[in-house]
Amino acid sequence: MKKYIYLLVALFSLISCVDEVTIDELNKVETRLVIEAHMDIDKNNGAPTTTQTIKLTNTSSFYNQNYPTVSGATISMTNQTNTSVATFTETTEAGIYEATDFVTPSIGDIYTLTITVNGEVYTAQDTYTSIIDINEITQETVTLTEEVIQVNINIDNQIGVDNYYLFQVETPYRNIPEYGNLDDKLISEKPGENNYDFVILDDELKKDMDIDITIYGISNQYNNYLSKLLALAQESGGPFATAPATIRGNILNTTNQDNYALGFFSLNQFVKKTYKIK
Amino acid sequence: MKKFLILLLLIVSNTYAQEKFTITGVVKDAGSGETLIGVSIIEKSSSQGTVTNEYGFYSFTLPKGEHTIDISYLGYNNFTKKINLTKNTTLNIDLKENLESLDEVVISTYTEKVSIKKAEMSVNKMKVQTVKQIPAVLGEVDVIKSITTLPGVTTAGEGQSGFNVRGGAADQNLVLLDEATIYNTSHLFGLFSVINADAIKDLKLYKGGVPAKFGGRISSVLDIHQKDGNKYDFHGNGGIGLISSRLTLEGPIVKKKASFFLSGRRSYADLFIPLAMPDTDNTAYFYDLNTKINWEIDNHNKLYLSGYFGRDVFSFAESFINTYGNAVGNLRWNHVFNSQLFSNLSLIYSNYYYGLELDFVGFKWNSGLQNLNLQYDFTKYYNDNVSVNFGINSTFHQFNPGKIEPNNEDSGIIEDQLSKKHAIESGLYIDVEQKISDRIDLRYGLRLSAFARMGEKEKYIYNENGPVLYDEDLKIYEKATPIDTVAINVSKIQKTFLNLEPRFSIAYALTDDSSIKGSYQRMAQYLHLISNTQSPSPLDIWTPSGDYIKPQISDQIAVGYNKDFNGKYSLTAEVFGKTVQNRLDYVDGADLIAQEAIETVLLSGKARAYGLELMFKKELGKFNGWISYTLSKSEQKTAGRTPTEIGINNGNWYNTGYDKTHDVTILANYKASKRWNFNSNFTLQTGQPVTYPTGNYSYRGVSVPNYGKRNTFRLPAYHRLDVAATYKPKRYQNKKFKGEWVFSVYNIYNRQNWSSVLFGQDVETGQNKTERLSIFGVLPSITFNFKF
Repeated sequence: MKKYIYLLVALFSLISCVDEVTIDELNKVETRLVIEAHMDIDKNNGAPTTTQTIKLTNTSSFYNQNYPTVSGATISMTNQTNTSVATFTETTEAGIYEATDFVTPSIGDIYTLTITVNGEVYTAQDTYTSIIDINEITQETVTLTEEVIQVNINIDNQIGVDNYYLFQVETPYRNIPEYGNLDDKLISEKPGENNYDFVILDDELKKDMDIDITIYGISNQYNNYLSKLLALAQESGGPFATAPATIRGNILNTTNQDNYALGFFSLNQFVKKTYKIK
Repeated sequence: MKKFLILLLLIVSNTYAQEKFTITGVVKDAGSGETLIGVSIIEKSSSQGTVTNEYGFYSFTLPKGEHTIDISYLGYNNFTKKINLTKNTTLNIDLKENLESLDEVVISTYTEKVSIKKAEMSVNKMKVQTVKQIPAVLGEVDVIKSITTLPGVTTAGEGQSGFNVRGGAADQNLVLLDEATIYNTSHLFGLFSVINADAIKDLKLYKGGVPAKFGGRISSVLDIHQKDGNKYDFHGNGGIGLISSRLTLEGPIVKKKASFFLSGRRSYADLFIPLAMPDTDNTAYFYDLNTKINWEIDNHNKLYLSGYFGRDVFSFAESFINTYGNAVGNLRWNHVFNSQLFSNLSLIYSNYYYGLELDFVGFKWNSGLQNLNLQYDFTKYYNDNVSVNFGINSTFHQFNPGKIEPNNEDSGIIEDQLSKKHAIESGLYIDVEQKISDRIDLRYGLRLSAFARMGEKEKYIYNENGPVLYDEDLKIYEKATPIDTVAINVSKIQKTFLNLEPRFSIAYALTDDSSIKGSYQRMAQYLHLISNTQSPSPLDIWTPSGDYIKPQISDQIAVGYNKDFNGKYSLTAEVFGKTVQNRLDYVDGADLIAQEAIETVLLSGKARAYGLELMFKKELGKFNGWISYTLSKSEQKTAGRTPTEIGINNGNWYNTGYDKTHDVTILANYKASKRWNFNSNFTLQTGQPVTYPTGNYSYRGVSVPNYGKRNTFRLPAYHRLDVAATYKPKRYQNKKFKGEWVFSVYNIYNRQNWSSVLFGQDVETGQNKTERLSIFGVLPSITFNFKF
């Protein structure tokens, strides 16, 4: 659907005009705590992943991307039997908390994050979700409004479970990664019919470029969150955009509910491949 | 109800015992035989009068004796007839068009005087000639956009579909083309409108005081009448413009008895497709086809068959194909039972289709709706003081929320038909126009509307918390998962709604040329178009009321003052206030596209709007036009369902996306000579309410704007000036062929109006940025129109 929206915008752009502007009203900020706590575990890394980081910042005004860091937090993570699975301590870099004793989680188990900062306690829970391997990566050329390279990532949709995927693509011409998330409601789980290509279409893809492709297994609640978040983060506004709103994650302030934090706590298994464009 | 009706007929029948007779007939254009709507028919000595209805029919009862009847219509020569009334009389009148009508010739002021005293308020009428004079984007005359020059009517923003009346949403307007409902009024996603101006006669917009005949939408009724076709000679007209070409053919099938009308418009195929892509097979175009056949069987019976078909087509190298549009067909039978009882029976089919094929994803998608409506309307003219309209109608609706299917064998998409929905919407009404005295005129009515939601293949059942779940801890709304799915036979009623909709208006004439008016109306709306984009898009799907979605109910009151200055100028001032119950809004972050259970992302709230409208108009003379000003407020509120829920926007009132505090239009036409005619249109309005980020953070390496409360900020004010000049070259003014050039400049001082703001992150530097999207800059255009 996103591509469709782009085409509409492209159609508009032929009779319309887009200028960069500065809006003074955006220089104000309503400060909120942001907790970025995604525990990503490489499926095919030989050794267990023992290091994880959590980032605490405050929101900044729209044009200012020097996010104020939040120090002095106490962070713990426990499993279903309330046993600690990681101890996070603040690193020399303010607002970055690192654990080096992270215990590889068990697929399907629920984990709990507890953060105490500025006298308030925040908690969150998520299920560790697995991912399938990529079968192969191929490419072809398609003609849209011009010739475009299309990269196909072939996977077998896992049978018997609801699957939620997060795709991350890193390209040399972009300084920021590009994301897409998906549930498997419209795709088959029948044996023999569950083979799919996920597609990257970008007119900037050129021969000999290296692109990094990562697929994360994500929980249902994380998928819901990312659907909303990515719709806002990757170009928002415009005549056909969804009306924007605050995106709340799974983090709960147990001391003062109204002083909620943004961000999300998740545990995701991932697979990663680098592909050279032919 | 039937008993009540009969009773009323009896009572009124008994009230006139003295000897009176009825004059009845149809008023037509002498040149074309086209019926004329809204013509004043006045008895001179008593200055009692009536106007022709939408079929040109009138009926007028007077005492026995000599009378002078004066017939007047703007743009036509006056017609006066002395008549000695000794029996019921048929008087069909052919009015001659006054080709000099825009010069300072004295024209009867009766038209204004009749409307000043009538209990009709909050209504604007526009003839197609006026619509055509308004300078338009790229010279493409736009019927829908022309009404935004009227007070109380705005659009959310430039290039956005639909229109908003008195702070109402775009889906709350009933748009009727020859009585058939048009569900989407826009071409090219709102840049242009579906109605081809060449095909229409006139339009009437009810912003309030809506007669009981109309129902089903709560904001307004836009009643558009198509031309019937010339009954005497074969004629054509058309035009060649920058956007489209038009051709209309009309003429008699049987002279004076039957005629046809056929009008087509098609935009050019390479519209907006840059020339830089010559090798690709890309098209983007739209077309409209309007047609009508009418057959005057005899003085008492007429048949009309009319139709409309329009489509937008976008195709990018066959990998992306998008088609959408309306189709309507309508068969009507006018029957005059006797000089005092007029009737019309209509069978109307209406259809809206939306199709999308994405080859690179491997799927086809289509959605839409269709309905069949049968209605029977009557007007009983008792005497010169009372006439009663009554009727009944019933519509069967079928909604297709969407069907997805693979477009080739290799596609991995699973075919899925979202459960089709069905409903029957019915109405029964009575509407009385009654003149109490020379000073007081009343119009009162009652509509009983009934909506039966019929069965469907897959109805979702939720637990006791309903389709929307509330997470008390995180304070967010989430979609509930159905606990069961049941199949209900289409012929079974699963939910019924009944509403009584009273309507009332009164006019009190202060003098012969000034009056005060007041009105109250209640209206119910059972179909909802839920859009979470700034403006409705063609993908948006109409949803019927049912177990999870309640009908919207609005109550409106308005009071107004009208003054006519010697028939040269007129002033209308109105204030209105309205409330809406059960206005739906989507929860934060809702995704509505292809949403199979739309009830899971909606909450029910309320809306209100109030405002002041002023219109100062000079209708006649070389220099004519109007100034309209609206001061208004439009808000909505969605509280939580329980005290602990936050609702939408913390349960506080917030601006609707189309709330415009100030809205000014100045429209001026100047007829300089026989050859040259100049028109201009200036618009100034408060910027659209928008939601801006109140903060920003980083997540997984991308920057995420954190948005504040809904619609608390505003885009900068919107304004522009458009001008047009029409030139009629001498050599194109012979009897057989007439031609004219229209030169126009839209947005002449090239104001870069803000259509919307794009929030993004520069992908190379990672720096956040904001971009202004402005749609129409200065746009000159040239059009050639011809008639033969």
